[in-house]
Amino acid sequence: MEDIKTLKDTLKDIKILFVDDEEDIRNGTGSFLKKFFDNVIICSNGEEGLQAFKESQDIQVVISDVLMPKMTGTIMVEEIKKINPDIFIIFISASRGVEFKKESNNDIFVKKPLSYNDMKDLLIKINEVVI
Amino acid sequence: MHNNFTTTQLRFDIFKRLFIVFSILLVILIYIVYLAQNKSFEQYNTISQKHIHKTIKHTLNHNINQYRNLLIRLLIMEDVSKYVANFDREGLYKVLKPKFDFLKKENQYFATLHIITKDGKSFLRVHAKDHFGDNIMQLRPMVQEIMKNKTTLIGYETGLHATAFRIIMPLYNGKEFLGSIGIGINPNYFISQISELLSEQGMLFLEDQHLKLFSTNIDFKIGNYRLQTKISEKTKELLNALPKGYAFEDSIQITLNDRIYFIHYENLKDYDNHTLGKYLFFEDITDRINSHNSIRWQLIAVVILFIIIVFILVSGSIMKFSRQLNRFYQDIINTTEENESYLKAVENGSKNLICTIFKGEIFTVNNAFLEFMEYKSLDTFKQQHKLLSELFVKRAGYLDRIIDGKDWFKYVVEKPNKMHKVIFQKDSQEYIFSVTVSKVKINNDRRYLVTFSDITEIETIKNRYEFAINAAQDGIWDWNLQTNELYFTPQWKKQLGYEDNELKNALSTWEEHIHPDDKEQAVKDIQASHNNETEFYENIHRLKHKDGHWVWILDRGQTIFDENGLAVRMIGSHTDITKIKELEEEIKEKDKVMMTQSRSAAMGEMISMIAHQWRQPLAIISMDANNILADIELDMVEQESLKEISLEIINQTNELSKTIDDFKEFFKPVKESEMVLVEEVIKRAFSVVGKSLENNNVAVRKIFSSKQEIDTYSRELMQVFINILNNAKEVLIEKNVQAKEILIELEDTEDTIIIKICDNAGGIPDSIIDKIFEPYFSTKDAKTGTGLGLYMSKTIIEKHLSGTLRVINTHEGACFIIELPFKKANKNIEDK
Repeated sequence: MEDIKTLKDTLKDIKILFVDDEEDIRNGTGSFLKKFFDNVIICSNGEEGLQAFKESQDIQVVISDVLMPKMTGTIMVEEIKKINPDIFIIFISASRGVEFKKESNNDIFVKKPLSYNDMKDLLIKINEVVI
Repeated sequence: MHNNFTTTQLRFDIFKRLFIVFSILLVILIYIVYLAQNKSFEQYNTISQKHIHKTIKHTLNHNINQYRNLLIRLLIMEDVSKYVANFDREGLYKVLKPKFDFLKKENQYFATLHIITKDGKSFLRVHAKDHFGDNIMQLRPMVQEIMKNKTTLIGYETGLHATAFRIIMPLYNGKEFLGSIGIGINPNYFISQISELLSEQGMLFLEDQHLKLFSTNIDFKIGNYRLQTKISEKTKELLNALPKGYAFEDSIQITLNDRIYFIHYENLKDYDNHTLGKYLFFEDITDRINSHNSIRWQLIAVVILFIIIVFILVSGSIMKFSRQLNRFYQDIINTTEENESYLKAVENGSKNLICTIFKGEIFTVNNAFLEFMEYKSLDTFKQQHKLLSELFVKRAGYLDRIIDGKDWFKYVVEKPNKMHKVIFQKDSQEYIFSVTVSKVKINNDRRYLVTFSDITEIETIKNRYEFAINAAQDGIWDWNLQTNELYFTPQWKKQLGYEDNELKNALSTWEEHIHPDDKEQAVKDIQASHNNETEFYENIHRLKHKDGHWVWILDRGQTIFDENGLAVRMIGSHTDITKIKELEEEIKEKDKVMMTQSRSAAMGEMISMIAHQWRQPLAIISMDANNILADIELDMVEQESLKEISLEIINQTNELSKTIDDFKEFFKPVKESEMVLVEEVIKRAFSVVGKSLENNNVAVRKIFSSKQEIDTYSRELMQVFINILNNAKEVLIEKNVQAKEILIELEDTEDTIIIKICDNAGGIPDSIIDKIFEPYFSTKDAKTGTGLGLYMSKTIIEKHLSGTLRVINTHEGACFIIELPFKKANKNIEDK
């Protein structure tokens, strides 16, 4: 396992979009991500997320909840993939039976709640896929 | 008209007979009158003769007494004894002569006054003064007798000068017997006296040996008696008319010159009672006979008249009666004719088939008969069928042409109390008729009046009823409350495993078999029915089966009352509901299982919902922990951020706790109903499912116009709401509806609240809409649904909360409609 400090150095330039409708999740997960990434765009629903992606198309990683008001994570991801099919997607959901189209082999689905190791694995995965 | 002829004939006949009877009667009556009259005439004659004889005797005696008294007076007044004692003949003559003359003058038949001395010599003959001194003792027996016995003597005697009827008395001077004094009267004197009485002349006949003293105009003899009286020519004729050989007999009748005479005689006797002569009298009885005959003829005339009058009266009344009889007869004929036409009308008015049979053949029929037999007239019917019995369908128990060796109608007449039936076939259908026959007499004809009543329908119903009674599983009982007799059908007994003969028909049979725990209520219910407190009797009780197990019986019955409201009879049925009871128990058991299942399912759902609720806070807490761990590893730990994170964690645990509180409500044990606003219950349901709806983008629209608190089990109701809301959510997600919406409406009616929970998921397919409330029916995968949700919801609403739950499809989607009463029915949910 790589040292988390070196991981932080390699990851800090990656631009990341995080979408979740739950404020407390946004805050918690957002502040965690910000510890490793310098550029974290945080949105509260799919619509906002899609908008944010369209504005900054250099976003390399999208981390999103699945069930959200206005636009679900899956729909948002479909739209984003139309723009950038190679983008790396990570779904984080609390619901168990949510249908999920795995269009790219790289895309990941993880279930809440996430342990510290889960988070570290995610960071390592991002590092592998993007860098 | 022959009827008139008959009555005239009848009248003539009666008249003829009457005439003969009256004629005979008349002859008999006349004969009786004749005999009676003759008899009475004879009697009258006898009485008359006796009377005449009496009169003759009386007249004789009277005259004799008169002259005896005269003689006594002469003796006393003229002192005859003194002159005789002194022999003073001249003196005595002077004294007696005027007396004698006077008497002679008075009565020409006064003949002698003679005094005789005791030596039997004549002292003085006043009628012949100069002739005295002669001894007359020898000549006259009477003088000899008086000298000897010295007593008064009366009688006929022939004397010296005259034959006379004499009265001689002894003569005394003091005690000295001087001789006698006597008077003599011509016997014809008495004839004159009596002839005056009899209107015809009398005659004296004297015996020939005695002196013939009296001058006569003819010489006439009857036997030894010679006529001594002067008689008229007429009397002479009468004497000549006497029958030959007549010898002074009574009751002899002679007829002379158209006149009829009776002959009477009387004896003339001497002092010693010897008959010396006969008096003979003729009595003219012509008038008497004539009057007798005229009376006879009058009587006969009266009898004839009477008979004629009676005959006229009787025949008159008979004629009158006959005329009345004729009128009456005419009336009867008219009435008979009227009756017959009336009978015809009645027959034709009847729906029954009526015919009369005369001499074994059909005589008349009514319209209904022809209509049924499909003939236009009786003649055409008779051309086809000589006998009515040809049409009888032969079947056991029904009439045939000959029964017991008799014609069927005679057989029916003789057994009027029996139900007689006959079958006619028409258009390949059988018709059953009941048959009654009565003997009637119309116009002197003896006919049989036959009535056929169509009982096909009744028979069918009867058969069906009998079949029903026999075939039905129900046992029937029939209880006569007056005699306390109780009849059980064989099926009743069969229900308890007995043959018909194994149980007796008595109330005790029921009492012996009923379960002791059920008896009190059953008797109470029966009593209530007898007292007319209940319209029907219904009771469920157990009866002991022959093999020992209990049979559940639904006993239903009805009491029948008489006009005074007295319970007289009770009839009822026993339905074996053991199977139903068992099924009920089974269902109860099943319900219990399903309830438990549904509760578990609901709980599972709750738990999954708790899990859902908890996932976010747990995710947050977990992420907070991740941040701390990351900070530690990155050497970025700051007191401030640690504090912040800790507070956040506490916040989230409060959130978890709150979730538990919300769900705790659901697990509360149900005890009693409570007054609650439905709105409040919905709010509680939303605290459970709200998040899930929110997460799935399901909008909820609420239209609450209810302000009414209702009395209900709120927890159960909440379960129903959660169930329906979850179903709506699931189907909305499944159908992937863009604008998911659930509409909740609350509305009060007069005493209920209506709760509508509608979605816009397009509605329930018609093919399954009827099944969605069935248990274990589900459209969802086994993962998400148990198939009990809606079944349990319906059970809860309808069985526990006394409401209704139904579903309809609107143009947007399904709409579940719950209606609940403000006040729950009195059902205890704990039983379940």
